Amino acid sequence: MPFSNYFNIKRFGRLFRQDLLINKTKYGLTILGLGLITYILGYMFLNSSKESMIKHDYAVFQNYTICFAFFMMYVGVIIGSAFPDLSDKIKTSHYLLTPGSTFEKVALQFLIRIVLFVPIALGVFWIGICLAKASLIPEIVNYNSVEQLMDPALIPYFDYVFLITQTNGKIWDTWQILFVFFGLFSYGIYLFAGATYFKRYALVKTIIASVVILMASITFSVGLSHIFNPEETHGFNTKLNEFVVTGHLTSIELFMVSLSLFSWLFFLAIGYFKLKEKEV
Amino acid sequence: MITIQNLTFKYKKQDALFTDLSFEQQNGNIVGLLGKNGAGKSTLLQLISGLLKPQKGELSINGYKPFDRNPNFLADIYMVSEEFSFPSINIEVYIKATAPLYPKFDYGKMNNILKEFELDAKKNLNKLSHGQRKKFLIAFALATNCSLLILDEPTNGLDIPSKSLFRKILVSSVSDEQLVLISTHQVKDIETIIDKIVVLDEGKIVYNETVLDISQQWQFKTVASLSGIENLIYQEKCIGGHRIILSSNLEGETEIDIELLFNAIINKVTLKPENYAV
Repeated sequence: MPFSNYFNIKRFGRLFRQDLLINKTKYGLTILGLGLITYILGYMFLNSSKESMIKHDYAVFQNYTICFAFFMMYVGVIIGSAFPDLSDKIKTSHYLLTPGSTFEKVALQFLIRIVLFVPIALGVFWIGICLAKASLIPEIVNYNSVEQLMDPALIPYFDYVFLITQTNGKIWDTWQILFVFFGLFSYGIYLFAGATYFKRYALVKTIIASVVILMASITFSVGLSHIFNPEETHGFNTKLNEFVVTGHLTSIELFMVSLSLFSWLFFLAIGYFKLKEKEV
Repeated sequence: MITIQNLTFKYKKQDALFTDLSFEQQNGNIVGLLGKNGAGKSTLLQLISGLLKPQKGELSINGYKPFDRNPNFLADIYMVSEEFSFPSINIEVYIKATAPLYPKFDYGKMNNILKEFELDAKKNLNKLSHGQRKKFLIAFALATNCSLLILDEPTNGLDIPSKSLFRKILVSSVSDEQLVLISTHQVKDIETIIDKIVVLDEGKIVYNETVLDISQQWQFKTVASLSGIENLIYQEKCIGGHRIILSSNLEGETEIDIELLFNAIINKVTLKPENYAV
């Protein structure tokens, strides 16, 4: 079968243009809403925790990380609502009959929801959180009958390096950075693929399924531990046989990094084949 | 061209809707697909368009297997569903966004049909009435110039003038290279435009004849009394007498009463010439 049956750059361009022309208002409002929510919630959160952020460096890293974690949930919702037409039978028919290959349709959603949206969202977060920090107003607080000036200017502006900084100021190990970065990416692709798997309330069902999978994996590990290491396993306290792989990496760390590095490929393939086999 | 051979299809947890269904149809026709509720008309259209996967059998549309959803196949087929939804954009933007996906799209034809249907291109699709949106969808389908147009209940929701306009536009817009498949309950709406009648009943194609052959084989009349009538095939009572189907003789052709013909077929009246084959 010719390659153009799977991908044709002109056809893909037309699909992309169609999506943008139809959804440009929705996308614009989503980004605007994202910025507004980041600013408002960021301001409220930073305002309530500015005292600790002024006094302690670790609080700066912690609080910015909490803001970012909430922001990433919002990003996850947007990624998880990929393939919006698949939630409705009538729209599904129309979507499946749109002249484009399955690969192009998956690639288009991937391009819009991940390749384009995520960097824009990270930029929006940076702008929103910096504006929120800049909006903090100095105030005088009474601390042990002593009036103190809480000057938010002492709080550093957000920097993405804070997210990978330990409370002692040291940057994380490379494997930890890879694990978190690709872990978030893989979970994003998992949510993305879930949109092709479930028909209605796909996002909620995908999240519930992830919890079920996690619990099942833990239970399975505990079961294995009880079978192979009955002496050392007590209840949910499992015995994990860990060994050093390299000078910097144990077997468990390697497993975790590998899982986050490659699982997104599996989820992307699931998304493709589910869409390919989709019926109304 | 549609070629279906020994098609079997069933929905999950249900009996088979089609078993060993075979059907062939060349381009250059406007085919009326008729059948009772639940006969499987919409399912057959969904199988032909690639929205459903057959469990068994061969299905080929213009040389493609529909469920492969080859992009070239999708660019040459357009389906007007009974139910539809549009994004909240105006007609102009919808055409600008979607028309480039259909290589044979004719913008001139689109504008002409929009004018005939009195649709304003500046209007938001979701602000139009159901009938107006249906007219837009039909206009868009015709302008795509796809080899296969599938119209599922196209006249549902159209007012009387729009129905006659639809017939006029459809006949003038379709070329000999195209095949139009119209599924409907409203047989009166399409009886003047179709050139072939296909009846689906109990998962089988029980009738498949051209209008020309039907009019040469049968006569359709309304008579006050049945006395003295020879060659009577089927009759139904109506106000002032009976609607009847007779074997044709040399007296000449009559207009086909599709509703009567359909009722005769559904009531298992033998309406097949000796050399008939589906």
